[in-house]
Amino acid sequence: MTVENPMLEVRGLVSGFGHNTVLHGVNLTVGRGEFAALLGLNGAGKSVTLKNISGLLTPWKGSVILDGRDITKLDPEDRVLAGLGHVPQGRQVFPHLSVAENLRLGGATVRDRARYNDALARVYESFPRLGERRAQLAGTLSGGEQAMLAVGRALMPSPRLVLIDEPSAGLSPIALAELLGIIREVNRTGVTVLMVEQNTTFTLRIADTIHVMQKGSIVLSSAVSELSDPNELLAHLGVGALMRDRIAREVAARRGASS
Amino acid sequence: MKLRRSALVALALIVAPVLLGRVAPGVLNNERSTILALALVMAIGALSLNVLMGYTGQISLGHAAFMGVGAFATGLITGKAGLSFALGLAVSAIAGAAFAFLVGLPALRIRGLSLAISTIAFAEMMARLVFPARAISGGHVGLTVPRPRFGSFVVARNSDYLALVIALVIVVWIIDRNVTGTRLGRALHGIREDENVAASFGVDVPRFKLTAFVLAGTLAGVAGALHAPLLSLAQSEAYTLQLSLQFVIIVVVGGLGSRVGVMVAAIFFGVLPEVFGFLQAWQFAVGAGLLVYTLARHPGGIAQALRESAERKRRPDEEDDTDRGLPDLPHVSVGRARPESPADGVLLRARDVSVRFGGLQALDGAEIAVRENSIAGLIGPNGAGKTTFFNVLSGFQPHERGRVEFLGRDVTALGPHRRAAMGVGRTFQLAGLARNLSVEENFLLAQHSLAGYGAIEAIVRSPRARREEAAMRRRAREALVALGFERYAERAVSTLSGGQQRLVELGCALVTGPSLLLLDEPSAGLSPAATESLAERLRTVRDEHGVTILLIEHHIPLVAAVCDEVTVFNLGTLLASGPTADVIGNPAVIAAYLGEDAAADEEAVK
Repeated sequence: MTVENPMLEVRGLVSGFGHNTVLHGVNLTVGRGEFAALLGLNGAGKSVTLKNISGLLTPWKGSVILDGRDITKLDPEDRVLAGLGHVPQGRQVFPHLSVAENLRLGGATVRDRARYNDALARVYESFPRLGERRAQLAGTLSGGEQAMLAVGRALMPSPRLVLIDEPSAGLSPIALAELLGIIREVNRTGVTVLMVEQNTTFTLRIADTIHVMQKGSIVLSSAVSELSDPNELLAHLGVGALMRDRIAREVAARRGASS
Repeated sequence: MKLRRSALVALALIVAPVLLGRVAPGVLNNERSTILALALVMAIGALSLNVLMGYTGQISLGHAAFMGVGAFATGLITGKAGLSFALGLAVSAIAGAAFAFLVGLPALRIRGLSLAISTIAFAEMMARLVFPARAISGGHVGLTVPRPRFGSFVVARNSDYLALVIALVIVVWIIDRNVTGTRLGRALHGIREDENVAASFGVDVPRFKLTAFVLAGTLAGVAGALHAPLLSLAQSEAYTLQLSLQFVIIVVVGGLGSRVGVMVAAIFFGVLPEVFGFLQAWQFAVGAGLLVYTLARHPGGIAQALRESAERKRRPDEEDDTDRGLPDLPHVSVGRARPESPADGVLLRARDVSVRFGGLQALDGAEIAVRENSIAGLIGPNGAGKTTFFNVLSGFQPHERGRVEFLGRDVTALGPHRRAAMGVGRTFQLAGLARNLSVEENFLLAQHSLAGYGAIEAIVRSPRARREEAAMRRRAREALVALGFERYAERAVSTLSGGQQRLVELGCALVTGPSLLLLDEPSAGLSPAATESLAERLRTVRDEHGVTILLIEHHIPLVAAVCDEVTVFNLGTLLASGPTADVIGNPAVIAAYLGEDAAADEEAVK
């Protein structure tokens, strides 16, 4: 896959914890305005990759390039200013602050009042449920609403690229479908998305491209509509009888839709 | 053999200063004996604080007051009343325990900073009002305390006194070891890690918190009983905030929860300024500096630094093997008679359960019936009350209305540990483990309610304690072997992968030999392959181990694959229940929970 003028380029990323190397040279390109998904088994290095992109971990080797600018050496807060949003695993909203206060913290880096109001209005427009509950404490929201708040908060500085780590955790199917639907809408307004997800069927339904990680490297990168052989994907993900038909059907549906 | 050797070492440690003081008084002179004895008395005080802060996670910034209580108690008994030191020691221990009990009571309700401040207030009150009172010490002059007398022998020589202190350090050391190696210590560790997790394993949290305070107070009282005769004086100025903070510094620098580390730090702080005389005036500054350095560089203290250098030698870098499938789940027998099947075949029944949190009606007349030897599913939107319902079923959640029957018996009034002992096992969503404890310790903690021996029996290692402890260790071992986790036995749970942690959770639930297993989102965080093998494993647990399962789950393919019957909650009430296929096709369930997409998926693969 070659992408011209990409939004995100990760080159030869090596990283880990202590003596433990987790990423062994990750190469990843996300096109402008694309909805990309990162799939793979537990411990394959998906979250570590996201954290290296957002700056919560420092790469040992390799580079991260956002919209043509090398951000490898930037601190996480400077990466936000450079146009990056991060929705962490487990959502991590501030439970004792209200919805509005959570969003205000998300927009803390926005100096321009008009731009701030604009961003806030857009978040409330994308997530009407957050608007209804703006005074409610975040800790008392349902899981689905907290997930919406976490995404909304990351959108406050109007990022060009937003990283989302496992939004499905603990969500009911209907709540996940609603959340992903909204993320897709946000993506259509021009925000590039890179999402890590375990729920393969939902991911295949919604993403433009998928990247599959295994043991710290990308082993498969493809547009979903160009996945010719679902078996390769199934093998990489270690999928057995229970999910095979569901995933194969999803792949076939997307291929059918594009041709 | 091992016991005899350590007994010999203990004896040698006690005899050594007695001989040295007489044979080589130049080496162990009076001054050096005093310094060493003081350092070791501080060590006892620090070990006692370690029980509270290190093991149980309760902050006390007034620990010196308990020591003061011991010092004045011994002073009054041996000095004023002229009675024996042994009696003084016993009364000091009891008085320390009694005051600690009183200070511990508020700790049942408050924690963290508020608790720390209340302990300071207590200590200041003792140091300023109680200790200087005329009746106790005759004002600020203090109370003269004689050296201990055993028959006609007076422990006047400082090197002999050092031997007495060493003897008591050994006793305290053994008590401390017996605490940590047993159900008592595990309960305290569980409380430190997470009170809810501890309670979920059947630990009576308030009771064990108080036990920790009482134990700490007892040991601090002993430290006080040794401190005053050494200085020949009990003075209120000695037991102020400064001493309390010194204890905190020793415990933190030594390593919270580490017996060896605390011991090393106490001796270090006691001896070093005396060796380097110029440091004496700066003792507090040096302590503070070391505290800051420790917190910044080795938050686990000396103990952590030692452990890390040992771990660097063996690098455990095993591949995570759970992603491609799960191992067999353990089948552990606890020797409980297999319960008689209920007449109507329903193992668990709950009716008309209502729970209200403030203005929120979490459950409103919810009900369920789980047939014996079945796998039942409980699904519903986020916030439907599923987890609350699990809490009701396992006895954690008081409910205003409703009735729970297990094995045909009304268990509504029974607490969680009673239900666990009857055979209700459960896992918790996300936070069900003591994450900083090892896998084996979690398996042992999970069996807390299967053992009945108490704190005293733990400390003296009664035959019953030994017997029950051996049975618990055997079952933990069985679970480790079944999961193929022997090599992870010593690893902290937090260092394992998500899939491995999920297995440890299942192991914790199964190690109590339950006849009913309540699983809260068992597939969360598992890879697709692991989820599939989970389905297989759950069937084995039902078919071969005879365990009935009720699971909360959002992963509908898993529910569809394993559940015989499904119950759906919405907004705290029953929305639907019945055979799985019927429920998944139910339009009301699709509208409230599944959504059209997921429902269509299930329809398509039928």
